[in-house]
Amino acid sequence: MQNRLTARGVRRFGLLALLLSGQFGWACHTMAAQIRVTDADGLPLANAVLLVEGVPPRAEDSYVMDQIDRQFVPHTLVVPVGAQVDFPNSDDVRHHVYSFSEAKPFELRLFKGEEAPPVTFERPGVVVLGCNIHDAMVGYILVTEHPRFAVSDAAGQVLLPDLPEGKWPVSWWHPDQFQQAPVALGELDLNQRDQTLSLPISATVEAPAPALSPLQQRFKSLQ
Amino acid sequence: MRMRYLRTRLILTSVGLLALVLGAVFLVVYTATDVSAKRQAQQHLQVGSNVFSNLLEARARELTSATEILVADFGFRQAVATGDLPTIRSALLNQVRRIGADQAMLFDAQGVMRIASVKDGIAAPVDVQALQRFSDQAMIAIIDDRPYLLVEAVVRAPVTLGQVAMAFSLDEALAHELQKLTGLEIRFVSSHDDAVMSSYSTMTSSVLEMDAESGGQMQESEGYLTTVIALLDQADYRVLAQLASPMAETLASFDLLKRELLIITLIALLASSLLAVHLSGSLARPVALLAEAATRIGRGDYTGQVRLERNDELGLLAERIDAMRSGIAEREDLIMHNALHDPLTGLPNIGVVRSQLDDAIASGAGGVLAQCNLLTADLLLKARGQEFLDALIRQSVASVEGVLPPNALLAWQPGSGFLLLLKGYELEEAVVLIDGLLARLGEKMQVQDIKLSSQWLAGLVTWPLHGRDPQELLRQVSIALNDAAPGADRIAVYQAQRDQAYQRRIRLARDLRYAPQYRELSVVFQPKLDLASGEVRQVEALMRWKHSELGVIGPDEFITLAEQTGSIGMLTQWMMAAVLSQLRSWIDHGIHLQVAMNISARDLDDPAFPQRMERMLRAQQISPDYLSLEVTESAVMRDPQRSLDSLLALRELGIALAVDDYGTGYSSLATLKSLPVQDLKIDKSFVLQLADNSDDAVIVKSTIELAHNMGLKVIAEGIENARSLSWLKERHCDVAQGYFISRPLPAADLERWMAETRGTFV
Repeated sequence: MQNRLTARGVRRFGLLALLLSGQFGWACHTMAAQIRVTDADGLPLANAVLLVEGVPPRAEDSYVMDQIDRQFVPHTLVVPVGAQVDFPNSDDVRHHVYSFSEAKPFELRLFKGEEAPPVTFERPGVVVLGCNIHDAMVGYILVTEHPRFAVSDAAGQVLLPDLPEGKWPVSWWHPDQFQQAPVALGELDLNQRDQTLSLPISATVEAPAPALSPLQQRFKSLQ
Repeated sequence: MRMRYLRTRLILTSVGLLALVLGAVFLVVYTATDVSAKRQAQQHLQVGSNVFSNLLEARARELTSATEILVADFGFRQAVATGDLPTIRSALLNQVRRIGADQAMLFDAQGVMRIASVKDGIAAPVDVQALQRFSDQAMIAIIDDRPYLLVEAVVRAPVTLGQVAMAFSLDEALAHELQKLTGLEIRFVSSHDDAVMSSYSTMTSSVLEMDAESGGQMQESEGYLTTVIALLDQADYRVLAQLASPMAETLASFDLLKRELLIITLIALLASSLLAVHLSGSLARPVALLAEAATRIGRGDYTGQVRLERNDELGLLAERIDAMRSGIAEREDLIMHNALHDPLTGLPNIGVVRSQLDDAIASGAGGVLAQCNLLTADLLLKARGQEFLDALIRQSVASVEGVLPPNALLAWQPGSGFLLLLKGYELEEAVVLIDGLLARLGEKMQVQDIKLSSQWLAGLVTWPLHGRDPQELLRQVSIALNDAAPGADRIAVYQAQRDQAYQRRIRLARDLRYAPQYRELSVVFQPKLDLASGEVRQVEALMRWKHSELGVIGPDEFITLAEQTGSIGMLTQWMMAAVLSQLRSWIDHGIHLQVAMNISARDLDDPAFPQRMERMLRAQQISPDYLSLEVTESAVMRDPQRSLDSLLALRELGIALAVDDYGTGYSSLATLKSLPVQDLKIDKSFVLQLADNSDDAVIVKSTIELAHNMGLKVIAEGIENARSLSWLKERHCDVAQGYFISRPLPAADLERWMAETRGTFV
């Protein structure tokens, strides 16, 4: 995650604008692609995952799903198929990390620090992580076969370093729609500067408790 | 009656007032307790409703917690996450049993019902017909036509996998449980299109079968206060909780109070009634007494004193009534006196006469009514004036009042004069009395410096002979008075009786009194022949009355009349004087004769008679043996004892006594023997026909013998022939008297006869 650039004060553009302005992006062979991701309302979208096909994969990284302040950090982790993920516990309480997801059901019972063995994700898919002790802890691991991928930060910035020039098929995924498989955006030249990618998703706002319970909402919607 | 009415009104008024007040108090308290009971019931219902809702919410919270515990279970989450439906179902059933739910359902993340615990078979979801939030954590649902309290919990692993819903039937068990906690009757009703689908109630009564439209409003029905809480109202579905607070209970708690209040009210009413009765009695009783006293006074009874031992107004009233009573009594006496008396003379008036006359007639007694009037009244009035006339009358009253017999009623009626009522009097008697009265009235008197004698007339009427009606008698007596005229006719009897004999008797009765005065009386002497010696030593003095107009009146007639009218005493008096005067004269002339004279029964009745006799003898200085008194047998026998006293007194004086007219009465010789008499004088009826009648002869003969045996001398009178005389002589009769010997002669003639006949009868 080095060479991360931040583009402050960048004007926001729609998808069309991104496409139009892409022509001016081809300056050098390899560049660090930096994309700003927004939701349908144009607001910065965090934890959005961009997946790129057709490019050589990056050198194998180590993948870590840390637990800090009773939160999974990062909230969303993308790993290639077959990757091993470490679950270090940075809190002073024990966690009981589990997943019932089809892609990788597993359970790390009550561990502290570095006690837990790494977990290998053999199959592509979404693995939803929970802690049996702390229900509020939710984390996502997207196991993918795509060679390149990146996750947007809190400001919606996605950094894809060393992305070869040219247009590549790009897909996106977001944990808010974790049951949905990554959606193809078509071939995009992500290296163009000041690109803004607007995704058809609304950021999940931490709305106040709904007047209707989920069940009720369902019941309503059924009628 | 009115008194009772007053008392009743007093009682009714006071008791009624009390009843009103007590009734009002009772009503107010009664109403207040009712209101209070209702308010309590309302509060109970209000609180109960809140408690009910809170309980439901609390129940929901509990259930929610229990449900959340289920969904937090790792194994359960794993089962859900892995879609292990049999495991999930068994877990749900287990939890249902554990927390006492009636239903458990699992919905997947898309809201599709995957499992319903109550149904066998996994793929047999129930029908949730309505669902509505009830509280933060609870909902009300209609599932398969039944109402449920529903809680849910989201199954996260860690993302939402679905929901678990636990349903609790709103059934009788819950209703009963809530009833225990709230104290309210509860009913759960679910309906669709207003058609009841299910109904669970704690009551069998229909109190809660009420209109659901009244939601939230409290209603009163059959002793319950009810309200409705709409738990669900969605489309045509409705779930209602009907709550009822039994007012009867709260009312019952006041029942004791009410009963006590009622008892207190009744006791107060009773006590106050008794008090009212007593008080009104203490007021009404004296009033009744006063009313009774007033009634008595009204009837004219003034005797009882009216008195109340009280110091209040009633006591004062009693005093005043008593003062009124005595005042009325005095005034009524005065009025009565004035009504019955003549103000001029003070004598009773005609009203009294009429009244007494009425009484006398009614009692059956006879009597005489007389009216006397002043003849010269008109003249005197004209000459001297009313005042003089009044004085004269007053004086006249004074002069006659003293001489009236005690049973006579003398009255004065202005315009009529005196009225004299003589009860029990014979007419002849009354005539004499009235005549004396007229004489008295006619005496000279001094009136206002004038000496005068007034002339009065009288009219008489007698009852029942003349009539029986007082008014008629008064009219008749005034007619009689009109007939009266000065002189001989100054006394007039009512003209209905005009027959001569009667008039003659009346006239004789009146005039006899004046006979001595008018020198119409005289004495004659009949010789009594002593048969043994043939000498005359005794004479019988006999009275003669020669009326100035009617001529000689027989002794039988006027003596009888005198005895009837009470004039006999006067005649005896005159006779005595005349006889003694003659005796004196004879003795002075050397003629010694014993003079016998008749005395009447009335003389014997007069106790003063013997003394008077003695006084007169002494006055003439005549020895009593010159005098012989003859008393008729009937007079002696009338009242033997009384006669005996007088006869003894006379005998003690030395006066000879003889029984006259012996044989006419029915006395026995034995009775005669007890009398102090010396002579027995055989009645002339036996002697007159002595020779011809053998019966008379026997009687006379035996009488002579018996008398002699008793030591009595026998005198025979009525001898009219020689035969009788010789017969008597032969029978030793002592003395003979009769026309054959000599008729009664005046004194001078007797003296001559005696001189001529001396020795003739030897």
